[in-house]
Amino acid sequence: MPVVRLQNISKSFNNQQVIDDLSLDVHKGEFLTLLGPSGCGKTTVLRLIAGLETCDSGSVFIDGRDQTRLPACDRDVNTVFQSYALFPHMTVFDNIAFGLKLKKIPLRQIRERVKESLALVKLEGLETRSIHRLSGGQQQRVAIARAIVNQPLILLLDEPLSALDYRLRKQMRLDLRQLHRQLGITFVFVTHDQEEALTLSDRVVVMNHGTIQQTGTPKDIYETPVNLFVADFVGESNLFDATVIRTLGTDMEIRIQGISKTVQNRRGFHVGQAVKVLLRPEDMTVARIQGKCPEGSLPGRVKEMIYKGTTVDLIIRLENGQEVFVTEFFNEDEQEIFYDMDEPVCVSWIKGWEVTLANE
Amino acid sequence: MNERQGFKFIAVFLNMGWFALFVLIPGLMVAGISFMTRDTGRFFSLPFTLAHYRELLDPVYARVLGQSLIYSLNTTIVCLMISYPFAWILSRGPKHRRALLLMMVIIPFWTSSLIRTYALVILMKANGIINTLLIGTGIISDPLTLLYTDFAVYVGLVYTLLPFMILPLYAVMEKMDPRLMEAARDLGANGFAVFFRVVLPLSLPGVMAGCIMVFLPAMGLFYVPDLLGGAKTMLMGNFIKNQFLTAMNWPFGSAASVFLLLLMGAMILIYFIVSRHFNRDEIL
Repeated sequence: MPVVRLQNISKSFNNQQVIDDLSLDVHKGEFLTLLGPSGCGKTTVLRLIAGLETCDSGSVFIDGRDQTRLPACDRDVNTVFQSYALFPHMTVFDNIAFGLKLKKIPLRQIRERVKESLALVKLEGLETRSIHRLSGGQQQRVAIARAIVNQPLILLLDEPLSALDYRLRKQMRLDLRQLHRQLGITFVFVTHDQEEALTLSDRVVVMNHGTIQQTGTPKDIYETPVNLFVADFVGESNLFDATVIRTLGTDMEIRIQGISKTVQNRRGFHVGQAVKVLLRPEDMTVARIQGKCPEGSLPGRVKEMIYKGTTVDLIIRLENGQEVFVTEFFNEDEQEIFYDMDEPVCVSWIKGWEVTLANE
Repeated sequence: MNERQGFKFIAVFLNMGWFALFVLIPGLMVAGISFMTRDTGRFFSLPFTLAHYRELLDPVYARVLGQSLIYSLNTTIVCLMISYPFAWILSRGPKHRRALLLMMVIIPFWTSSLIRTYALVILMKANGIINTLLIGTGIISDPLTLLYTDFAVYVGLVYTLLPFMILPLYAVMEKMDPRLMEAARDLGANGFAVFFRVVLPLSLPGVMAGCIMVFLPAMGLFYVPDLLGGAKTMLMGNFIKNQFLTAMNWPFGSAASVFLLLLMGAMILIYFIVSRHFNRDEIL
């Protein structure tokens, strides 16, 4: 039984549809991320689970019970807000103890639990500190402690890392994963940062315009996006227009950039159909030209080379002017991945590493 | 550069000069006179004496002070009870409604409050607008006694001082982050708990400021009880006015003024101490 089930949810604000007939199951104990551009409705989904918004139609089941109309204060769900929303008139202790005090838990037990949750977020001994004397990162941790101290069924996190600087964000990512393992509770995380989504989650839900585009593991989402939006939003990608020339069982021959190439046909495309071929930068290979490019590879010239330590990024201009982004990894055997500007090269990829999508 | 400094000097001088001429010097004169002896011919004369301050401790005058404090306190409570929900609705409403309501609060300031008090008299007279309307529509047959009652005095005080409560409350409520209330709800607080644990504590500086801005002037608004209460009610303001204009006892009136000034000063001091405590938590 899923811990949260959203069933045919719709929601609009001022006649603008924000969530459009959305259904989603969240499994017990998983780290689920809602990923999408701003305005895609991901935060609204989170607020619907929290009970801070009510949906126009559809149902919200939490722990198997219909809680569509249950107010936020009665739900076994806690939120870490984007702006932290810490109470400015209270100390760290009073902020964290807020939920426990409302539940009339004995003070001794409250002290114990506040201490525990402060330890979990690595802020031991800051109980008496005023909120204003905390750094951004510390405030973030207090916000997390304030939520987890209530031992909710589900912890909701609304872009909790977006206000932190890069280094702190990376650290918090690791800490969040560790926290998820330690607590064993369900995390629902909202972000517009695809790297965050991929590194943190068990499952990613990609959203756009109030609907779910794709749900899957980070690997699924990255390697086999189901449509152009997901392909484009998650990670870097090179997109080529192509036409199916012939189908050959599970393979097909396509015309791409003026050459013909055999690729896999996973989606039953038919002859004559216009398709998009998606290739991740690291899935493409570049070779120095020896006379003419071998069959099935695209000729081009090196336009830009960016050294990044562990990789070299190349921008290659193909003969028809389209630019391709390729990432080459350093290889013990082959030291020769440095290219000259404007050097003629051949770009190719191994059959099956491409993703072919219907032209939308 | 020199010209600018010259301008600065004039600006500061004008301000300070105004303050000295109309606040400091009259204040010092009042303070000085309060220590002098009553003189029916020349209003006051030497020698210096503390007799008037001793006289203030007389139970008769202490009663006037006590009564005045009760009027002020009640006025403050009524103002607070009306203003709090009003300021809340004002601060949470959509922008255009906010501007409209705020305008309605401020517009009465454009007319002298003495004239507005006369307007209340016209409304509440035995044959005034309210009674005429009520009798005309057949709701009552005999006119209600509105004017020259305690009720009328309170209506006058509350009406005059209401904006001084609404504006500071609005100022703090408008700054209040609605996400804090959401966070409280999320953590299990029902409407009641959200109000008492988050909204009220965060609006307390505004409550304090509003209470002082109502309580202190309420003691001095002598024309309100004079016009609406039929001069039966005595506020500190009435008492002081009477000492100067009727009893011709300037030193005693001055002593009462100084006493009122000290009382107000003490309250403002308490407010500053308390609000500094709050402000320390409000930086950010």
